[in-house]
Amino acid sequence: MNESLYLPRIAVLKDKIAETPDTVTFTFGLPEGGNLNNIPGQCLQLTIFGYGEAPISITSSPTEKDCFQLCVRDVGNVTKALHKLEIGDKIGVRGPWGNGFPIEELKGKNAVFIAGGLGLAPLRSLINYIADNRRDYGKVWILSGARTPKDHLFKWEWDRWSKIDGFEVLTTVDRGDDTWTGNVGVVGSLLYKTDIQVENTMVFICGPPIMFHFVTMDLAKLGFKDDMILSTLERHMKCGVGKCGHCNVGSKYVCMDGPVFTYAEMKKQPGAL
Amino acid sequence: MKRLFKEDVASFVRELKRSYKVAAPQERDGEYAFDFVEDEDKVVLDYPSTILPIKKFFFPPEEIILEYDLSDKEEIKFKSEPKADEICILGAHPCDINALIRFDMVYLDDKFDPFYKKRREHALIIGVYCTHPSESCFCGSMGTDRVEDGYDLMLIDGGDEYGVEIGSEKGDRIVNSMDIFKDGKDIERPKLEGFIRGVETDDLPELMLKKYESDLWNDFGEKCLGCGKCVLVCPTCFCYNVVDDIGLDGKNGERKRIWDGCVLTDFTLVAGGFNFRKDRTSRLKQRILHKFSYFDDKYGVSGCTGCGRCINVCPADIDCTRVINLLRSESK
Repeated sequence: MNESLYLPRIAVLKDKIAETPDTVTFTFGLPEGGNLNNIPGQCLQLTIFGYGEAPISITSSPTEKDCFQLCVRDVGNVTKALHKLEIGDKIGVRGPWGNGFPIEELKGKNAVFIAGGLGLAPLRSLINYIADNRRDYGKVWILSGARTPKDHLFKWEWDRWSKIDGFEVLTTVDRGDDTWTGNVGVVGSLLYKTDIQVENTMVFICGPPIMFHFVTMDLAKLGFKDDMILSTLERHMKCGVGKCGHCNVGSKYVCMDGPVFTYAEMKKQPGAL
Repeated sequence: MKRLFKEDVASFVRELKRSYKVAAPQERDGEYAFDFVEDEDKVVLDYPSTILPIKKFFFPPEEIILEYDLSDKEEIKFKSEPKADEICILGAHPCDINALIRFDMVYLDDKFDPFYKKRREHALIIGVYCTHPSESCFCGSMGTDRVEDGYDLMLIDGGDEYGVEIGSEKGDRIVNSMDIFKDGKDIERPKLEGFIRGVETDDLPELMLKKYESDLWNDFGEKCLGCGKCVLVCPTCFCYNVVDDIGLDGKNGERKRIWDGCVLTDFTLVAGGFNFRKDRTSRLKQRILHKFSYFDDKYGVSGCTGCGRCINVCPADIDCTRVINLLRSESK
């Protein structure tokens, strides 16, 4: 069939979880049931009818059988409109697209997750995938940093994650407040607060460019090789199918070849970092 | 080899118009432009270059890719249906046919664009070998003054007549079903001479990457006005933006795609205000590197076909052949 790849499918808003003052996790269901069969780390194009389309990473794991989740900050036209939706409202979805995280290659290996602010959203899809396929994977360290305590995402997951055998959760903030009794400092400092194994370990980083810059320096110091460090690139893709050119980085398209790249691959593409 | 006498071209066009909407070069304000033919006598097959390439017939400057109807809240209705007329592009030069081949690489991959595909499937391409390069042309050095693929028929100028090369079954059927084509001797493809511009293409993709940090880029970046004319006239610039328009009653929406270009300010702007290529130099560099390095890395051929239109229209006199030649001499 020559079905147009510009046709969205419908999804229905089922739940909203406020994460921070400007960020919400939205749970959607498909009218036909099931989920998007996404690979952790993939993206989709979200349509808010009457407003437009925007690329959003999927925060839920495909092991979540009857829904999918998007964790979104209200920062652009489309995302602001998304935040105004009510339970039962419909959105359009195209995708999922992109390579996703290497879930096969990661089998039998340990995983370090390093998140800055909203960066935990795409990483969570893989964290929960590992949690639900626990025997296939090694140890997991989750290092999450945010500007202030109220900027942390998925605080409601911390407890569950830290109770999983072989999982360790460490969090920090740039600036604490009266409620915060934990670490204060940049997320990279958490790398030195626990015993992270370098051998047989892949690192997944998501966060602002400045954080990525310093964390990769820390990782190099600890002995991590560039091809064991992975991250996702963010670009404003308009088509999601390697045509519109907006996400072009070197000879790669973030929507098709990414969004997940190793640090070694990123270094090869001019303008990626 | 079959031949078509030049005095029969108008009759040939008339004949083609029975089955196709025929677009061919015609004079417009002292220049030449591809346009649908009304008067067959106005078709000009011996022309230097057209203002715009033929991409506009396959990838219009603006088109609707999705329509949605929100009047029934229970069931949102969509439409994304490509439509295409039977068209014939008559008189395309090898540089522009080579550009179409590059467009196909991007738009007809396994995630093919249905709008482009439909138009391509309903198009007949009759090219003509260019006989004299213009001042800004450099197809000679890009190897795109020749064409082996991507056409149904190719016309070779032989004085009073055109020799006809057949490139497809469709082309073969046309030649053999019309009396206007006569048997004749073989006519050789012309050898283009007299190029003013050129680039050395050996290891060009690698050279461009190696010179990524060169200060030379700033010299050109500071001159660039970021106007995007180079993108509009480029036969291989395929980028687009997507915008939604909604009716005043909020019931009907249209999603349009509109030509876009990487030299324009907002091209890499993301929500929240961050721009990955916020200065003109990085945008100009992106465009030239994409043509001469990135595209080659991904598809195995240069993304530029040397048509020279970007050089011709640039208000800041930025000439990609000069950029490349300066970068190369810097590295020697």
